[in-house]
Formats: sequence, structure tokens, C-alpha cells
Amino acid sequence: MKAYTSTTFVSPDEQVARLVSKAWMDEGILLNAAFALAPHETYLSVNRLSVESYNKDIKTFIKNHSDYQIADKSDLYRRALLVVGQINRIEVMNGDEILDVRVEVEPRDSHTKSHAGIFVRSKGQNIVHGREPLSGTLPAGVSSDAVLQEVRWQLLDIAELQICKLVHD
Amino acid sequence: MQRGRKIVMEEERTFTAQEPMMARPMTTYADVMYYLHTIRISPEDKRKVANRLNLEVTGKNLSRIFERLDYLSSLQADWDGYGALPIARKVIENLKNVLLVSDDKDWENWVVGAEPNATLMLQSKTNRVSISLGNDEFSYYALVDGKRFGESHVDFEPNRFLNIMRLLDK
Repeated sequence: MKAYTSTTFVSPDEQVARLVSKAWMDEGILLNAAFALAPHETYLSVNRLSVESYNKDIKTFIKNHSDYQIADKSDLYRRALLVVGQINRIEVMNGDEILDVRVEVEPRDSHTKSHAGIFVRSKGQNIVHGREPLSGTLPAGVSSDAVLQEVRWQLLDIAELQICKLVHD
Repeated sequence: MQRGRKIVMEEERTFTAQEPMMARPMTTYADVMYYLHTIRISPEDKRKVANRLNLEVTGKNLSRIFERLDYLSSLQADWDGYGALPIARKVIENLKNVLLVSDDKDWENWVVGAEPNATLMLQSKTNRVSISLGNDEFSYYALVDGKRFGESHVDFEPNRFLNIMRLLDK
């Protein structure tokens, strides 16, 4: 059982939403590319449903990025809903061994109050796409990208795809 | 048409067979027909081209992937709102080159999406398998019976890519 004593973590009871671009949906199937980190990113952006500004935050975001609208000028959008506790329970295996990898959700509210980040870490170090961590962080033969791929699949497994309507004031 | 074979144009300009789209964009039916009638092509090859184009239009999966590529190639910088790059033109062409050597059924179990680093991602509808395609390389990842396997930095070549797709789709 992992302990979450720091107040910097989002509570395991909370739900977070990853907004889903049309580029991540094909044939009605959600692709795990929805959970891919760009090379410059240290975390995956999500929004916390429990934060009051959630609707306002995502409305602004979707208005500025039309690929998140289901159809042109539509109020409908897709989101992948994730329970933080389930995210925290993600484990990455290497054969029969459980790797020292933690998937953690932290507030990132400097731009919008509901913004949060999903971090993948090993021994306290962020696992980043295309960049290998310090020697000894991951066992030999296990790459950062392999860990991130596995986390992507597991996020896809626990995500609930929803079609929602933007809430207007 | 063999890849890389030189084609002599009527105006004595030469292009490799991979390059006409780069050299002279063809966007209309008239442009394409004009181009086809300016190259030296045997009646047999004309029939092959016609059959292939017919397959790409009527083949449910091939036409679906071509349409999908049209959309994915239209993504602009920052399409995800977090600084994603547009899909590189070469990456789109790479996948189109795979489409050219593949059969309609090869695509039955695959869906295609964009990744933020200008690459394309293929995901199996039935297995825990994904392939990431870049400018010059591709990588794949699979989890079968709890065992993870994959390969990174595989040099891209259309038939090699297609063989991996077929292998992973079993």
C-alpha cells in the first residue's frame, strides 16, 4: 500500500478528466496516444472535476482548441474520466518483478485552478519520453519509453470515455 | 512502379518515383490524369495503377486510413493545446508508402492517431499492441500473455513496417 501523506498530491477519491482530441479517437475507439507525453513534458495534463472552476477552465480550453469539439461549433466534447486512486495503483512489471514506479497526481493550478498533472516517477525522478533517467533509476534493459508505454495502456484500461456538454454560465 | 526508379518527364525533367508529390503537388483529377499521361507507362502498368486506385477507393479499410491521414495531416502546431507538433510530412508519406504495399485486410484491426511529437501511432483493436512511426524509424510495443516485448529505433522501410504489423496482428 502506497502512502500519500503529502498535501501536494490530489486525493485518491478525486476524479480527473483528460480531454480527448479527435486525433486520439478512431472508429469510436480511444487510443492510448491520449496519454502520451511530449518530449518536453514532465506530466500529463488533466483537470480536476471537484474544483469549482472546472467547467469554466475546460470551456476556455476547448474554445481555443477546436479538435476537442466533437463537431465544429459543437458544445459536445469527449473526456477520459480517471479516478486518482486507480491511477495511484498502477504498477509496472518487468517479468515477475514490480518496478519502483509511482504514478502520482499533483495540482498544477498556476494557469487554471482545476489543472493537475499525472507524473510517472521512479525513485523520485520524473520519467520523461525520449530521455533515459539517471543510471540505476530503472533496471537495466527497461527504458523510460517502455515504462511510459505501459502506463499509457493502463491509463487507457481504467479510463471511462464520456461525451459531455459544455456548461454555460 | 518501382520505388526510386527514375521517370523521364516529357519536358525532360526527372524525378524519382517517390517524389512527384513534392515536385508538383497534384490536387485535382485533371492534374492527376495529366501527370499519368505525361509519363511512359505500359498498358499493363496502367491496369495495375487502375486496379490499385480502385482498391484504395472501394477497399473499406484502405479508404478509411487514407481519409484518417487526410485529417491527421491537417493538424496544426499546438493542436493538443500543450505544444504538440504537427505530424511531419515525411511521417504521413511513410504511412502512405505502407498503404501502397498493403492489402485492405491488413488494416482491419488497426486504428490510427497522432502523438504530440509529430509521429503517428497505430493501435490494434484487438491486442495490446501499438506502433509508433516517425521520420526514419519506428518502434513497437506489445504485451502478450503478460510478457512485454518490443523494439525501438527500427529503420523504417514500408515492407518491414508492414511485416511487423502483420506479425503483431496475429
